[in-house]
Amino acid sequence: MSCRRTGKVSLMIDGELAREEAAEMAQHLAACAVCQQAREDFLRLRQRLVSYEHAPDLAAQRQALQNILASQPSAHAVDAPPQRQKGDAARRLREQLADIFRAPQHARALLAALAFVVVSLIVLTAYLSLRHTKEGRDTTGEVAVVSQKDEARDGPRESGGNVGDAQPSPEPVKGVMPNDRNNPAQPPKTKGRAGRRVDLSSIASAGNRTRAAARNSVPEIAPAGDNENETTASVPGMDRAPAGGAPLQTARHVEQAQLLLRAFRNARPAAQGRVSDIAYEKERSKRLLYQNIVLRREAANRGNLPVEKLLSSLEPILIDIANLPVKPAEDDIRSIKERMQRQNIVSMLQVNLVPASRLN
Amino acid sequence: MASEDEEFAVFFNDLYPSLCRFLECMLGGREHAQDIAQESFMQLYRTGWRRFPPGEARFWIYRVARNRALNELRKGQTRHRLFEKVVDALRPSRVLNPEQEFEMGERTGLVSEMLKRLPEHQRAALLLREQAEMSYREIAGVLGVTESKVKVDIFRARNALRERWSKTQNAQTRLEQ
Repeated sequence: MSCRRTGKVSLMIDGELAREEAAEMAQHLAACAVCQQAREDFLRLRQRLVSYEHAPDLAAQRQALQNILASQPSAHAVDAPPQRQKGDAARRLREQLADIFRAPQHARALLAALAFVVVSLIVLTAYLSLRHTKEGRDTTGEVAVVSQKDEARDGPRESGGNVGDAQPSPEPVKGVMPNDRNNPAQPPKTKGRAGRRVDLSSIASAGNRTRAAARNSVPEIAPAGDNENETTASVPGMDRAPAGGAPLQTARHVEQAQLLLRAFRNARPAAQGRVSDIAYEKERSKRLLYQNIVLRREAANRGNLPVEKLLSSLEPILIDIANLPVKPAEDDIRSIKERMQRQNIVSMLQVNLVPASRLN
Repeated sequence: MASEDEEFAVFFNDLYPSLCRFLECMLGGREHAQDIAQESFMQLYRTGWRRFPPGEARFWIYRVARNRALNELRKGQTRHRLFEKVVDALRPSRVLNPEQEFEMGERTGLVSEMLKRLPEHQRAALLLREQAEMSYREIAGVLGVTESKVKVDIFRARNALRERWSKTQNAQTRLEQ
């Protein structure tokens, strides 16, 4: 059996479909077994290619770099293959290092510098671990109400990832739950990866609906208590995870996050004098952010360290995307894309992605 | 080490492993992959890598590396034993059946074996998509083709690998029985 839309499955998993097409394809996928099988096969192939075993030859890498840096850059393009150095640069470096360590005053200064670096690393590690613990406690009260757009109007950009999504709310809700128990009026804050203080209240402040209309349509979120299960049920649009259903939810969440990050990464830069419109990606990121917080905490409670680590790596990027203005500057978008590339976050999500169908 | 050299070293160490992996999959041999990777970076360094806008140097490197790999393949200078075996096996008198192909794949890596069966342009497009995570537009720029061609090549490569994988899995099942 074949389906004429199988070609679009290939575009879909690469995030190359327009939103309307992606929404249409998602509907088709739900009903077409041929395309579902194709999608699963393509994703499995992707995993194999991404995890293709390649043991890096570090010695060759170092030697290559030394050879390159020892050559002189020229103003003109060089067509002929460059000549390889015979290790002169390495020998010079060794001689210089030997001279440095031979002199006693240099040795003492180097030891002092080394001791300083070690102490700094210890202090930094302790500070980061304390901050991580504090953020984990703060997250309990950081569940904010997210304004929701009509999903039928906008449509999902990625396919398949929205099957398990929450039902859309017809009315957006505006509000922020207090994080600091001592000061309820203080908006909750969390620290982004770049060190900026991120105000979660800004995430919830989208849309122009009145608070009264919102209150009539969607119930307010209860304050987060000590009970973890209440927190799970409090996240808007998310059902309480059934026992044994956490791996399936996590797999779907990872799949949706991967598709979002691919779409964000592949978004074309705006033309000269214009700004990019990332309202859809921003909204998706908000949804995925709250889901990510809940799933990360569940993984931590279950002692599933690899999943917790993966979701912890993903979270700052979701925060940054969600905090972008609707029409952000290209530099902000580029900075997030560069961070995604440095972290290889999309590859990490790909390698850890298990097709949700396997968990059924 | 000067500051500019340090930045280049960071860029090099970040990109070198993934470029080597791409070239290894293209050529079927590690040694030639490392040679071509070093030559490509050397060319970039000597040309003046700072003149590229942020992010553009990466695409330039892949373009240069891929062109060099293509030259190697056309000249037939790849000496990897597996590649020669595959070439020999493709002669009419020694075409591999799926069982033989599976056995060879078990020794050398099924993925590598099946990639070599793809036309070079499909192989390059698929590897740039899956391993280098480039968008279709970026891949079109690296390969010097249109986006439409990239879409078609990637889909055909996936379909071909999918069918071949299914055949080898069936062969494995038959061997195990």
